[in-house]
Order: sequence, then C-alpha cells, then structure tokens
Amino acid sequence: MVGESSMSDVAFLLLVFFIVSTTFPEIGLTLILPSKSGEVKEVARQNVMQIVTARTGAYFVGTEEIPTQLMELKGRVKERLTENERLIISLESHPDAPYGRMIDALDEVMLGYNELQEAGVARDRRISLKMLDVE
Amino acid sequence: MADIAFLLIVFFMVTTIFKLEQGLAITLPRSEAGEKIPREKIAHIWIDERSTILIDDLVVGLGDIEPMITAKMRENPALIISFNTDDAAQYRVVNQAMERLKLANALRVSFTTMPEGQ
Repeated sequence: MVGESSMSDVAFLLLVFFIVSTTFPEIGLTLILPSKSGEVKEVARQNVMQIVTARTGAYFVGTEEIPTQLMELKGRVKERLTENERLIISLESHPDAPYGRMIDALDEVMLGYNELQEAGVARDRRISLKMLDVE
Repeated sequence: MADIAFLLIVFFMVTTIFKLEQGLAITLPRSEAGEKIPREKIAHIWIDERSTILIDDLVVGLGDIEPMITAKMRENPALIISFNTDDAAQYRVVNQAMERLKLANALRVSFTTMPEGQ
C-alpha cells in the first residue's frame, strides 16, 4: 500500500524537477551576413529601398526629409516589394542610433515579407544591414 | 522530529543571504516576426547598454571575437550567432561585432528578441 503523503512527495519532486529543467525556446530575427571575401555587387538604385534609422531613432525612407512612422513602414515595404521582385531592403543606421529601433524596423520588414507570402506573393528575403558613414 | 526539522529549515531560511549575481542587465527588444532558433546551433554574444561584450559568459574585447568564433565554427560549421543586445545599445557596437563575425566567416546571425506582448 502506498501512503497518501509519500505520493504527494513524489508529485512535488517531479514538479520541482520539471520547473527547474524547463527552458523556453529562444526566438529571434535571423539573417545571413554577406561574406567578407565575396565580390561587391553593383545594384541599381531603383532596386534598393533604403530605410535609415537616425541617431534619434526616427526613420527615413530613401532620401525623404519627412520621417516615417514605424507603423507605416510595413505598408510601404509591402508596396515596394509587390512592384519590384528584385528589391533589396537596406536598413541603414546611424552609429549612435539605438539598436532596439533598428530591430523594430527589421521586425516590420520581416512582417512585410511574411504577410506577402501569406497573400501568395513570394519574395526572397533580401535584407542588408549597414552603418551610416558619418565621420 | 519533524518539529526539529522545521525549526532548522526556518533557521536557515532566515539566516541565508543570497549570493548577489553580477549579471548583465539586458532588456531585449521585442518582435512579432521572431522565429525559433534551434538551440543546439547557438553561440551567444551579449552586448549591454554600456557596450560590454560577452561571448558565452566570458567578457571579451572586440579583438577576441574573431579567434573565439573561428574556434567555435570549427566545432560546428552550422553555428548561428545569436545577438542578445540591449534595446538601448548603440548600433555601432553591433556593427563592429558583425564585421568581426564576417572575418570569422560566421555569417548566420540572429537577433534575439522577446515575443511581443509578454
């Protein structure tokens, strides 16, 4: 006969074991960096969509002087990707720009790709990260 | 007997002082498009707000990144470098680290984020 109290001891032991050993999967935004040894490719200007993260964390698309809100980025990315299947999205950041703001923009770009894919417009993820040359 | 045991437990609970952990305080950015990263392929680079860089729990300088990652790549060529960078870190530091990764030919990177709304 197994006692009631030793049963709950075992249950607690198992509970503690699983609480301690459980780890949650890490999630992240994955990219492939360009190889250092690879040749530099010339890309036509109309195939590049620049998204600049300024020092303040504001976003500028291309050479526009009016900042774009984070919420608008995804729509604009999707629009450009739909018209041009060879589009490269170049995320360019000021050296002092907060990292989190660049990631926010990258997230919107990734979401744009995902939503297009769900809508049946498959595009290769052509994303490039760059630091602005300000010195 | 159980009374004595409890007395001892209470005594130790009250007198215990926890060892203070000296970890990095990193607030990860949040994302909606984040995907799971296969755990067995990850090497971590941590960068905090004050630009301290750690590779798998070791504090390193920028110059140490290339040899350390090269050694790790030799063990596991499919390695994914996961950036655990503070939300408020300067982009400059991340960029410098990525340049070193390119030298080590470690081209698969992931920017670890917290899921949105947690």
